[in-house]
Amino acid sequence: MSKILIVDDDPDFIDATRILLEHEGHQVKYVTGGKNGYETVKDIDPDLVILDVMMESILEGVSVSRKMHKNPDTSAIPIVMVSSIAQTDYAALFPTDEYIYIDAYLNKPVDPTMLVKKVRRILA
Amino acid sequence: MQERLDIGFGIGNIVSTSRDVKIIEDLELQVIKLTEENYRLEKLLNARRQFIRLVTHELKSPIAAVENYLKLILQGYINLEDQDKILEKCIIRTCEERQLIDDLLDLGRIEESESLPITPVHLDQVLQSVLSECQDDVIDKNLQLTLEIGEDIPEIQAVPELSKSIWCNLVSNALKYTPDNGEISIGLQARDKALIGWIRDSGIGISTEDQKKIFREFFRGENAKNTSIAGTGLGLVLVKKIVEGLGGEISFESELGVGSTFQFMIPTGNGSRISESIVG
Repeated sequence: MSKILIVDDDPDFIDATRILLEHEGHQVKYVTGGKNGYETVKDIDPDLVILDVMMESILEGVSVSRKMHKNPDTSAIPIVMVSSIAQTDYAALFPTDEYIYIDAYLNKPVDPTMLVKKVRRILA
Repeated sequence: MQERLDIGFGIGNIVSTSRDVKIIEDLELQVIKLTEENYRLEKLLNARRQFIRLVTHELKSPIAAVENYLKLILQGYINLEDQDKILEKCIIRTCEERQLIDDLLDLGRIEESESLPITPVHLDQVLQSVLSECQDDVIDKNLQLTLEIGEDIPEIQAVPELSKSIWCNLVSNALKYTPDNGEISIGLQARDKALIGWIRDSGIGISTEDQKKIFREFFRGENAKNTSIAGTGLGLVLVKKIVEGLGGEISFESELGVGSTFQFMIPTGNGSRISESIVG
């Protein structure tokens, strides 16, 4: 059983992902919004983070992943980034000139089986 | 009369009349005006682009949530006994999507309100009509509803559908966010060539932090988002635009966990109409 943290601002995405990951036997914690997200990552030291891109600000998730990468205590925690910004104008705002420190990226709506596969692969 | 001017085109002194000077001055003035107008239009265009980006994101969110839940059911991740709960969540998000589309259509109406017919509107009658539509919610939640409508409420000149939207949104918010057995008090009075309307509830309230953003498009208070109540974050935006378009203003007071009071003022007798842009 792994400890997984969901950082997202949509309660239904959190709920659906929690149900799915608990079904897989994981311990799931969640937090709404990126500001609390990074603090919670430091506090609970999860085995994996499911991280939304667009929360209070447009690229808040990217900012959380940067902070996690810079901190030696959190830099090794794998991140699955999720977002619904693909095929919207926001996609153009996604940085293309820097490396984003994530282990997988999934478009919302996230296919449950796909998410389970990614999580299994990363935690293996 | 002639005067000599060096206008600096590198071709030496040019003989110019005072009429030419006037033309140059006029042209310079026009260039300044056009530059300013261009800047204003660019700002408007950027605001509109930003608004469209937000709308796209907000329209996708409820659909993504419903799709997520349905896939969980179809792929066997939800026990049979829990499926009803999940389907109820789907219905809430579907309602949210429908409400969002309705609100966006209203915003579109505000933008086009210059071409919509204005008629005399009795806001007291509009309020009564909105309340009669919400009677079931009041009974279901066992709410104590107090109504104070002053005498001789003058009519205003407005677009009827948009005027109704003021009360619809304020009443709907109060009903949604006031817990069972709570209190709602609604009033409308004529005072100093203006109509003063208010709605006070004993609902969940708005935190001090969220109060700064409450009229921002698609913003919902943290405590509101954490309820299972559907909301678009556009209702108060609509009310503010409509009230201000009628030459009025809206204000509110709120305390987290205690309740909120929204109050608007609309001047009477000027036949004002909504002209504010959707992104203005």
